[in-house]
Amino acid sequence: MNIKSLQHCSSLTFFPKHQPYFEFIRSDVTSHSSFGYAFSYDNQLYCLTPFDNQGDSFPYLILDYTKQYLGLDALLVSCSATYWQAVVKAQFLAQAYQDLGDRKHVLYLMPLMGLVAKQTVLSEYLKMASLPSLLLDYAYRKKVSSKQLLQMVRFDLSFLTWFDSDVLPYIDPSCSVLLDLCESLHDCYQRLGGIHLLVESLQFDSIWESYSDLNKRLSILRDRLFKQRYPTQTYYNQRMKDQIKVLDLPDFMSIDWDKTLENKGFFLNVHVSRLDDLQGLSLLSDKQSLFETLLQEMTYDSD
Amino acid sequence: MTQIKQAMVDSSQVDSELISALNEAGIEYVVQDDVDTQKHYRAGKKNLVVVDKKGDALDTCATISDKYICCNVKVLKSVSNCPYDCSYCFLQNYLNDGNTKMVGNDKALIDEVKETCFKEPNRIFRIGTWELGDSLALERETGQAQRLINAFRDIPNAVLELKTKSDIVDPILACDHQQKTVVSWSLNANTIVEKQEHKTARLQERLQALKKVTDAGYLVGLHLDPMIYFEGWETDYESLVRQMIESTCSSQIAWISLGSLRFNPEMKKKIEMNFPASDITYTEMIRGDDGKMRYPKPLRMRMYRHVMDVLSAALGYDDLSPQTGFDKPLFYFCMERWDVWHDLLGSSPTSIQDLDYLFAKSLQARFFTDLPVPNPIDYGV
Ligand code: SF4
Repeated sequence: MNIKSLQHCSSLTFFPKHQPYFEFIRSDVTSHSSFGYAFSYDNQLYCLTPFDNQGDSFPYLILDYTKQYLGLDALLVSCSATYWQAVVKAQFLAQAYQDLGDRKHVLYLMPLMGLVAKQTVLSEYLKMASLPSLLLDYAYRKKVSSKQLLQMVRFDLSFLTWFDSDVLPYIDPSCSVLLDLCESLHDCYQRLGGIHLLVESLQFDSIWESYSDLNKRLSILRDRLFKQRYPTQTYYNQRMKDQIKVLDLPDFMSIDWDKTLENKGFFLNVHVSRLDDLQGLSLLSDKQSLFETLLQEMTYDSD
Repeated sequence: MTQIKQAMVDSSQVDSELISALNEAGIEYVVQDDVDTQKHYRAGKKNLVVVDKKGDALDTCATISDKYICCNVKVLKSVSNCPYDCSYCFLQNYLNDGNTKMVGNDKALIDEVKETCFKEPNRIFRIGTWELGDSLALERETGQAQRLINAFRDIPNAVLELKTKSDIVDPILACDHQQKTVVSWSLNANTIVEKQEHKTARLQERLQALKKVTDAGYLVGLHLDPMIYFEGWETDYESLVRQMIESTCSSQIAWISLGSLRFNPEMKKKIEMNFPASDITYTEMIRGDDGKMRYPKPLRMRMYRHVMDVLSAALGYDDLSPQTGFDKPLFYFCMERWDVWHDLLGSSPTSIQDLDYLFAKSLQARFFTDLPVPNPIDYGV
């Protein structure tokens, strides 16, 4: 990109066709700089740097205007687009695709953002830009990476739209938790066969209404979701807990087992801190038949 | 109708029998070394690339975790990729090159098999060609299975297993197999065949093919694997078991296996992306000790129990355990835990080698009585 000259100007306006781009890139560029960028079109200078320079004369480096790219190449260079967040790059490319109408022209812009100019990569970014609005804001706020954004766009749009409007506003998860939540909700929604069935079974409103703390809401939701997503594990682990209750073990003994139910058997933990505790070991033989029942429970031959 | 759109032949393979088969089938090909790899596994499903054998082709099909019992079968990597498109196929997450590659140099394959088998003459080797593809899907075009059947006939201590989801058996019916080849099917509930096993032979077509090879005197293998959970699975699997037993003759069934759906965790995303209409990834799954996702054990056991009951009744054996006699088809679980064996069959093999030995005992006692009785020591038991 050629620098044509250096000029001192005041109160430069933005190029009208660039207006939508500044909507999403404005907050993602450094706003303090000792000079700005601009280009000249139809004998008028247009500002390429999104900061307020309404005051005195200010130095501007004047760049080329390339018609077929609407000057977007100059805009990308002047705004250090390689440092932008993935979501901003995605939104920019989507807008550029809409304005330039030709994927080839959009591909040309990609290396100026530090992206590989490949059709597949462009398609991925265009998909990311189609996420519903709150998710886009979320991605910006939490600096979500392109890899994580790609995981989000795997889910179908109707699901994402529902999640965006009916779940996300009520919680504030980290990105990894959000992805896990989406995955679990999506699995359950697909299994149940519809959003309304998912809503009915998880009773979201009761969580939002009963708890104002966002973390608490999240933990209750995840808990309900676990039961919904893992009904077999929930059911058999509860049976184990019930059996263990029947054993009525003293405090210094506890039983642990593989909650995924894969590994048969259980760990009997005995914490001996007093001589009296050793007397309690006789319990093991007294309750042998109950321990046997516990082991039998792990053959899963009854529902 | 051929499943091959383009065929490319490495210049070292132009004189191979596989090329004669291509010619006979009217498949045009170009001689080309260094064919570009296909990044996506689907992109190369219709490209046949005939290659030379590189390195060892014989390997052991094994699990990485000793908590799951594997049957210790050997696999001969004669083909990689497959014209079919099953939603659960692990190849979508495995192949670095999506081209369908087939080794043209049969002699080199057979020589390697012979070398291995002759080194341990007292063992009976089971060797399958299905690890990275389907053993019969391209038989009309390549004739590879026929050549392997003929070669295995003359290796006294080896049995070839051709495993398929096709119904392409006509080309092998006239082979002089001497029962040294087990033609086996991966069979599934009709709902699963229809919804998940795309482009494969439909269930009835597979069952008709099973009947044909039974009539041609072959030994057969039946693999109900991967069993997949869906609403109504009970009746669908019941009917499958009855139909498959009716389509063959129990005295010719060498083995029957059950296994449940399992895949590496990364596969979930791949399946959802490649098969958006598939619902197989939404059922409850846990991560097993081998790192694979599978149904929780109570669910697997419920499915196995149900199918085993129907199978016992259909075969007329109360006890399916491979450890209680060799007068019946050898029944086993593929990649299952010791305790699942124990709880469902009353006992389990003591090791992977022990299961391998049980296979040999069963084969020898039922079909190869002229071979010496297998000795556990030869199997490392
Ligand atoms: S038949 Fe086997 S190899 Fe072929 S697509 Fe299906 S699972 Fe994969």
